[in-house]
Amino acid sequence: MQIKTNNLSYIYMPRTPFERTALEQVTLEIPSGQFTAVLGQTGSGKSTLVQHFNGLLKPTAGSLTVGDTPISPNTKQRNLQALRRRVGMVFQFPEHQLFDETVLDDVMYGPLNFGFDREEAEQRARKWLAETGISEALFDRSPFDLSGGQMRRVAIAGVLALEPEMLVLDEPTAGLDPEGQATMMQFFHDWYKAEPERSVVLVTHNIDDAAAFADDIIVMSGGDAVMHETPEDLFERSGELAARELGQPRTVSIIEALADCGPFPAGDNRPLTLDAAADRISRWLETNGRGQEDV
Amino acid sequence: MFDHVIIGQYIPGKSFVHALDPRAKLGAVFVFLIFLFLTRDPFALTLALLLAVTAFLLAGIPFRFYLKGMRFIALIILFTFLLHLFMTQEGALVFDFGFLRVYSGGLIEGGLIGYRLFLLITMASMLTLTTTPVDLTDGMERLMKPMAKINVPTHELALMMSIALRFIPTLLGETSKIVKAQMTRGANFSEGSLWKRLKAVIPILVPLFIQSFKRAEDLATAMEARGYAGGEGRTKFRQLRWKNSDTAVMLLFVLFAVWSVLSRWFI
Repeated sequence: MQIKTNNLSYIYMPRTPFERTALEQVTLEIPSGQFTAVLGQTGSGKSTLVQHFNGLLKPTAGSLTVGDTPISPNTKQRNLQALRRRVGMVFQFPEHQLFDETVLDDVMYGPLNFGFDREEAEQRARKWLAETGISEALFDRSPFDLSGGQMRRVAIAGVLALEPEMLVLDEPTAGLDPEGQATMMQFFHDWYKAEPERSVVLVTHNIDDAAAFADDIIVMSGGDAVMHETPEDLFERSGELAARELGQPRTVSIIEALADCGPFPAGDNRPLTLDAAADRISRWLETNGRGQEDV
Repeated sequence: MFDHVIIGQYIPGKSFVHALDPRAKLGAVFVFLIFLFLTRDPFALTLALLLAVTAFLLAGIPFRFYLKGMRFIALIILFTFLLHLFMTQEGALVFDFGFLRVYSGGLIEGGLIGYRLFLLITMASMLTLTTTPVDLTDGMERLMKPMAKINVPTHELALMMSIALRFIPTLLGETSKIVKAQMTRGANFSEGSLWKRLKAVIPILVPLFIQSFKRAEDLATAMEARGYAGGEGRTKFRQLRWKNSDTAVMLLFVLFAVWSVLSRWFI
């Protein structure tokens, strides 16, 4: 789904002493079928921005269009319901949204809300629980008896069971161990790759995830989208990133550190995935001689 | 969604009311509350209005903010007014709708109770809007101290209070997050029959309770880890200081109380 925002502004608690502008006239365009990462410091407005994408928040001023659904300050809640089925949203710590008696019932909650009959809802729930790696033995257990990682996967299955075209992920790996984080990011990437029209918007602090998975990166700062580039172009501009306290992906920094010790053979010195970085390092070792003492 | 709940909120400021000792503010509101509901004297009631308006003006709370917060309260006041209006059967018959009869006694009782509630809520809001939760509970603990002699757990009560106040914003934030997560999954709180709407609340309440219990446990662990062992021998970093202005304010409210009593029974 394509997203276009036009001078989108959002103010929390307008006209009170606690008034705070979170977004200020953001204009951007996210093409359909892309994996877009939204980077930025805490308080830069990235979560506020993406909550507009399925109509949870309505702009205070300006407007946006998600697919063919226009959202303006006066859009009625009723008209946003259909959009919510097409844009799934996974919040930080999604396991906090579990409530039902059994795992299966909890995943069926979404499909039932959107008017599917019980049979189809259950079929979808079973399918997506299997996809997220929950074994059938757990389907009739209470979601609160599961481990933290399993709870999170059930919650994610609950969103995927709506079979959305776009998935908005707000720090989906927060609080997981490194291995769990890698598995989860890979899962979302596989989901995205499975169908050409699927899109993902990933909100993250983690510049490595953004570099490894995103086709496009939006950098938010002070309530505005200040950069919108492909990862390759973005990390060329390391000075600007540093100014926003964002730094480089570790894959790029390690190559830079190695380049100080010895020259690299010709090629791309800004690898964005771990595999590409490993490849560059082995090439570097070949040129500079293996087992050198001072490396 | 909960943007306009003003109960329990604190607005930072440096006004005269902000600077008063929390004990004075608590005492004043307490006296105000009791004698406001005791008196029926028009002069005392006018005096109460004057006190509330003065407190509001001195506190420097933005009028629009106050108005928004009162919207929900106004509903409660209206409901109470109507209840009294139709349930009181004293005085002369004013209206007769066949099944509903309004007597003059009902008009007076309803008006009086609405007026009192409005003043009471205004005054109580002035207290919470201008006092930090920490000050509030410190003041409360200090005022309750004499009761410790008869084994009332005053420190524990004050602590419970400050924890409760502390977690109001956290709970509101949590609620709004869960509401959003369930809306993402198609929850609809504004359509359907009453039963349907009530049922729509379950997916909000269950996670909220579970989170709260977890948080309570975490908090207890954190407190124990830092050696918390009740109020015994505990000293305070922040000392309360009673000023002349506090005495003056307290005197003003005591005067109101005295007049209320005099006008009710002796004049």
